[in-house]
Amino acid sequence: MTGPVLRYRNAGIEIGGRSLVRGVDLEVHRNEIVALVGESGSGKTLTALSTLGLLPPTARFTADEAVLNGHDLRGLRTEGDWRALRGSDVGIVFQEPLSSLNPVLTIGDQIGEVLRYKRGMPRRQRRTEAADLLARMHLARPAELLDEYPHQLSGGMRQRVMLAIAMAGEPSLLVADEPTTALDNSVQAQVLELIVETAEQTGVGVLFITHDLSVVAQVADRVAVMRGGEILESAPVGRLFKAPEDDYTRRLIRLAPKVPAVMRDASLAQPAPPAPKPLLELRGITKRYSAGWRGQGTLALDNVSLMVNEGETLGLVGESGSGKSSLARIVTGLARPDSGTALFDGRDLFASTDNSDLQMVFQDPFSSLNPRMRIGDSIVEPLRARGMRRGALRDRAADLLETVGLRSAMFDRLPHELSGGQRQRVGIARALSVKPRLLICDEPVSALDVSVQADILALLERLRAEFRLTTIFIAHGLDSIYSVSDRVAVMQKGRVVEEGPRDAVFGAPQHDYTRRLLGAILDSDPDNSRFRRREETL
Amino acid sequence: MILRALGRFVLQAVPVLYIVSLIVFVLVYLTGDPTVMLIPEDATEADRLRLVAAWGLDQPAHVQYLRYMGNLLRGDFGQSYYYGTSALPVVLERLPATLLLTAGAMVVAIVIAVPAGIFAALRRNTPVDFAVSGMAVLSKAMPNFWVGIMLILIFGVQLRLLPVSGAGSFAHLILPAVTLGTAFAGDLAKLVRASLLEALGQDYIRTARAKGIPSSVIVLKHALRNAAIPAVTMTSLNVIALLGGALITETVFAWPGLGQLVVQAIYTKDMAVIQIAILVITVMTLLINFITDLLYRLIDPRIRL
Amino acid sequence: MTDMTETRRAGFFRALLSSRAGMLGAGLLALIVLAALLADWLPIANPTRRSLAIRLLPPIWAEGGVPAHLLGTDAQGRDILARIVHGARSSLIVGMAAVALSGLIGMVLGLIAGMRGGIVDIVLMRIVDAILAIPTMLFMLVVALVAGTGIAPLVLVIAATNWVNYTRIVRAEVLRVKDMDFVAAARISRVGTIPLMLRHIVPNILPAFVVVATLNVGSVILTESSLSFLGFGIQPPAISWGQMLSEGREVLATSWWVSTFPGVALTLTVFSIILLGDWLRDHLDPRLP
Repeated sequence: MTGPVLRYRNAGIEIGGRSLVRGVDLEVHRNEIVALVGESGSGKTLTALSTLGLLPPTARFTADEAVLNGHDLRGLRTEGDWRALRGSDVGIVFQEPLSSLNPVLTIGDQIGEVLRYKRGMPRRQRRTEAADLLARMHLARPAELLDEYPHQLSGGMRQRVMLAIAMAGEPSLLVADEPTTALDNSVQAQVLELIVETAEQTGVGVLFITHDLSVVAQVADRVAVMRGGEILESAPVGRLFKAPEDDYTRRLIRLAPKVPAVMRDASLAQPAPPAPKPLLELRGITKRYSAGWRGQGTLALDNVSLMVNEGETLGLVGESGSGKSSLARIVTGLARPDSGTALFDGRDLFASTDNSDLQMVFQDPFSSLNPRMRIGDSIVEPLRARGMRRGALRDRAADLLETVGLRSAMFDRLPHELSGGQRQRVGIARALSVKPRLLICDEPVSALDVSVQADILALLERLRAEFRLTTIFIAHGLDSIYSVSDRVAVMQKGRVVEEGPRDAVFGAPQHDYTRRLLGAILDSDPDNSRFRRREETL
Repeated sequence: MILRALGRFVLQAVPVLYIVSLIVFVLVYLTGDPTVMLIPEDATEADRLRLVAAWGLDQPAHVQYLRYMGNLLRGDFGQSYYYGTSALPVVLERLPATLLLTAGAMVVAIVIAVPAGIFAALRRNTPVDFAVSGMAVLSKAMPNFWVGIMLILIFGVQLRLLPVSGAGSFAHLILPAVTLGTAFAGDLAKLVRASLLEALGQDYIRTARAKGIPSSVIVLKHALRNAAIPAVTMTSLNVIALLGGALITETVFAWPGLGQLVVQAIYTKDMAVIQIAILVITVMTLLINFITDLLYRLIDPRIRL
Repeated sequence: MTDMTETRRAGFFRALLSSRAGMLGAGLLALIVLAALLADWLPIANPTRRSLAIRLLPPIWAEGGVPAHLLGTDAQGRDILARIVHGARSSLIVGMAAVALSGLIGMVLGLIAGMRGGIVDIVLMRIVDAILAIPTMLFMLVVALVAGTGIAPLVLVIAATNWVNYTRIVRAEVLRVKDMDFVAAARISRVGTIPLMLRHIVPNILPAFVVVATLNVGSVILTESSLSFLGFGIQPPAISWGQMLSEGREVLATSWWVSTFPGVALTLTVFSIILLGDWLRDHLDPRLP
């Protein structure tokens, strides 16, 4: 039995005198997937990058022991020192497959480089081997792909190419840094499966970096939870989920997405609450975006009809390009449909000039606030647009800040002085300032850390009752929508393919695409892993 | 691909050429009656009025404009009164000299700027980098024609090494080409440095480093090719600027190109020559834009559609 | 992102003080502006007094130089130092006036093109393309034939081509900002077009605008000197560095100093403006090239 492919004892990373990672003990064995879980700023990515010497130049790495595949990492200083290990002993897959591939070089060239410099293959052989690698990543027509460029591939294909590059040098350790975070839900499962399969077939040890405990439950053998630069606890995946020792781990596990019980047993479905009356009725909304002076353009919305009842939350689900954002733009009046009608409480929505009918909370907490405007002014802007007097505005802003859990003294702050969660609270306060009847939440928490997500969702839930809001909650996957919605609508390619009470959609989906999305939900219960049978080593 | 680019080119070129011809007409109309310059000093007012009537200059503006457009479309570009011949050949005759000077200046600029920019980017925040940045700012701050004058002073007047005016030999090309080339070299070096640094900061460079391939391959193959696009853009803009903009340098060195011709034409109010020169240069500009467009496609597969 | 705290005035000057290049530029430029303002009170000779007796005196350190004329005299016996100090006025006035005029035109048209879009945008941008296709200097010379010479016509001549640069930049910035979520939020709240522009668009494009305008003062000063060099700019008795260079070229073979010093003054002025502009860019808007 050989030793671990990676072993860290008391590893630490300092940048500019600040200690960002401390006392990290880590081991990855052959044919083992070790997950490093944590939120942003936990130090998990720095730890991962340190195994390849890819830390920023100002960083200082220290350890009592740092061994990769028999090489002591502590003596490596220059790029030249590291070059010998990279590719051949350790490979890496990054989060963002598009920006991680060179846009001006062909796929074949980018794989071939590794074969040339790491395995010394002659040109002819490189081509066959590269195609072979792509085939092993289950990419169709591998030989043709060699001559294509990254922008011609889909996100999932690009990540498979990244994996092919990482494996081309036959490394002993594979670092996967949030490899599926940037992918659509339905693609995520396929890429995870591929990583697990690769580990099983080649015996490569995998260091898997993620913020998502459901991913951990699906793929990992062992888990280390990181927070604030330290490993809080480390255990085999089964034990960690069943008997977490640390409070923080317990909280993460509690907040992790679960497969709703109704999906396993449709008889658990609760009856849909009776709908009092429709608040918003969309009929036959069609929108085509033109593509220049010629050409058909793309059909963003194809005859969409949808109803939102007073007081309910409608979960609107679709992957990127499904038309859900176009629909939000049309409902909020930012864009006009080519045809179709919209009634809001019986009146024509498109003729409305009242900004208290509906308001919106945005996904990106950084672009949703004007960087040059004090947050107090941002919050009361909708009131100002309605003609409220200046004197009254400041008091209202103070009230609103407190309503969303911020101190009223924050009025004079600028957005960059706030954290992502605080900014999202400001966005919510702005939307609520005019007491809207319908609130559109466009993936309001997907850009936030898991624990902040829970706070914001709880806030939205409280305000929904307090302001008697009707809500449209937009999401890219079904997993995040179950707990918040009363009814669910699923969009695909500009159409609503399924619409119904939540438990009916989750328990007895009618459309293939809905079934596919439901299948993409990862359960944060290691006993339900779909990828790997595991002999528990408790 | 070429066909589509050609289609886009025509689509862009036609309105631009039309607007340019309109602007030229308005300006020439506003400069006033050209007959004052044309007639001999002993001619009478009646002679002058005959000429005005013969040229249709007494007609309202829109009639004159229709006649002007009609002439342009028929390929009649008017007479140069100064040279006494058709204006078009006068202008075209000067084109080779200007093209030669432009090419010379570009060679000087690229030979200096590309290595300097690469070197500064790779030795970031070292004295080498600061020196390159400082020289770049200085070259942008120095007026072109003054650099020309100083070069004449040093190499012509003091050292007597190089000819300072006219054309005809390679030696004649050196000083004007250096004058124009160094002016552009500063900007180009700065841009090469900045875009190379930007490319080196991209995720795909991190991927390349993670592969363990040699640093020279990372810089020359992965980074430089991505950094080339802004540099190509700037070079093409500069070629355009030089084709019609080397007025003063050509004048200072008496280089027989378009620029010198145009300055002469301005002094003598030879409007026919000015009109044709502007139209010819506009066509050249559009052609260079077209070539640049094709070049982008060669470098960056993403713009191939 | 974090740099924006420092846009508050005190932080702004503190940041300027801590940048060596920025300080050098600001200090040098302050000296030049001060000299131009105080030209009439400085202990220098009368810049327009001719005296053939002292024509083409070399600078003080060369053989034959005299203390009364530190940088020597020109072909008409006028003091070069005095002419340089007075010439700074024309350069700075034309530089700032032309930038103000073209910046104003460009801001308005760029906002209209970017916000309205559609046919207005297409026509405006075609005109901009056309003007960019005409060589700048040639275009200005033809406009100068119409507008005449002197300071005010010169400002018009330069602005006639220069506005297109601002229009393009402002339009591009508007398009960038216009699609951001905070603008969408304001439009959902039915904020009117004018308040939307004043509160959301303009403050966010201003940093880029200020940087471009600062650097542009330098290039306009160079343009002014080129036009004056060719005789289409500032006319005697007003003094300009370009004009001095043109006179110096006549006597280049015998008297190097006449054409050297105005060029040095011009270089230093533009150099200081570029240093200041580069610093402003790094400080206000690191996104710009």
